[in-house]
Amino acid sequence: MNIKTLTASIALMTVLAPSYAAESEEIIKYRNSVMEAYAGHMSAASRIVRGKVDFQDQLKLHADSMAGIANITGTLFPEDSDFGETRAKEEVWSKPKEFEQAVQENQQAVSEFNKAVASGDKAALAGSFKKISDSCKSCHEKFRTEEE
Amino acid sequence: MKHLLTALLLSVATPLQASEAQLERGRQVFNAASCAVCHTDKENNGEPLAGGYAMKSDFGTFYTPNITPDPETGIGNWSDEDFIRALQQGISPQGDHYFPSFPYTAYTKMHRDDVLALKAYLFSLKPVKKANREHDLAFYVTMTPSARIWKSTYFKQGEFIDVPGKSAEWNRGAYLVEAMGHCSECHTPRKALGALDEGMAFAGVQKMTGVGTVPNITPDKKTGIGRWSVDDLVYYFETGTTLSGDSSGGKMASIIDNSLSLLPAGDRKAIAVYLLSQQPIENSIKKKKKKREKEEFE
Repeated sequence: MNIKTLTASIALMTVLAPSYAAESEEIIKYRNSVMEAYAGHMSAASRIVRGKVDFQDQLKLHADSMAGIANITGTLFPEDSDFGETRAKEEVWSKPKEFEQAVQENQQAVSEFNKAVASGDKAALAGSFKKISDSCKSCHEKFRTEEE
Repeated sequence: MKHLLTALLLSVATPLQASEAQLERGRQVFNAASCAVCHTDKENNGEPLAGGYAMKSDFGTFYTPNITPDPETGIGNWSDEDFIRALQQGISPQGDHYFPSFPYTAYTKMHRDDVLALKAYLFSLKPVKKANREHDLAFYVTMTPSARIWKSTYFKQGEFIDVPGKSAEWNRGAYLVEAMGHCSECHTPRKALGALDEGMAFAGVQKMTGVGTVPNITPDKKTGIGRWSVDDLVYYFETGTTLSGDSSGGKMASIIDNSLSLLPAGDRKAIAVYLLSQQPIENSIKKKKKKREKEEFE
């Protein structure tokens, strides 16, 4: 390696390094926002499912949105987004198969919920909605830390 | 002859039925007291109730014991009185004082009938042979009769007595929270030497060793659960879904799965009624995200 390439490499590394870290931080912020959007739909839908409010015609909106988000949650944890201000546990990346399965369980539950919304079957509605919260909880238990 | 047969059948069936009622009550106590949360080492796929779960604390790591009815490594040889003394007085059958990592500070408030039903239920489960692991504690804890000293200062023995003037539901909630559920063990901050700070009951802990961030569950509108209704809390106990739509994780997810979601609906409501009747305390607990450096994994 001659001195020119070495200098060039060092220059390239100093340019890339901070942007690399910054990119990770941006991914984490984006991920948090998407998760919060999911939670917002979850909470709103729960108030309709539980009969607290009567916006039945809006339930489909929440179900659709949740399905859309459930389909992308798996993409929000790329390699190198495992450091920075995140509560995602190392296991997301060290146990990718189990993580993928947890994501799929959630997608499955959301898809059942969408079918129940379409059919209007009350029991299926409550049952499938419970499955969604179960899948959220079980994934958070394994893959999200409560510790600082 | 037919009558004789019926009589015979009845005489056999009656004690069995009585014990079934006791087993069912024991199962409910078992769930309400969240025994499975700490006595099963879920993280390492441990067998149910065979212990070995590592409970980290500021004083070292406690390894929970085997509470299956295995006579050799579990509690299979314990008499009723042994079991009652352990739960209500924090004393082992050999006469040793338990560390308060075992929440006898709460269980002492349980009624004797409930303790006996719990024992009957535990003894109906599968025995598992698994030797207990010794705690790994700081020298100043192991080198002194620390458990005995701690107890003489901070431990108050005595069963829960209904508070007059409060509803049956409120008293049931109090019993579930204070005697069985031992919510304070995590949700109430501690003073020096691990004694609960009763003036801050349920106000949450910013950083609890081995558990993490524990939220304020007093009905303070700004920093606690003051905006939650009884129904919202009951729904959370069933599903783990919070008012904001987040889903619980960590230890609380396990408590939802192994305790709260399994209780009779009336018990969940009683807990909610009791918690929301507490003194609101303003104490902001924030889930901070740890700044993790890349090097940690390399």
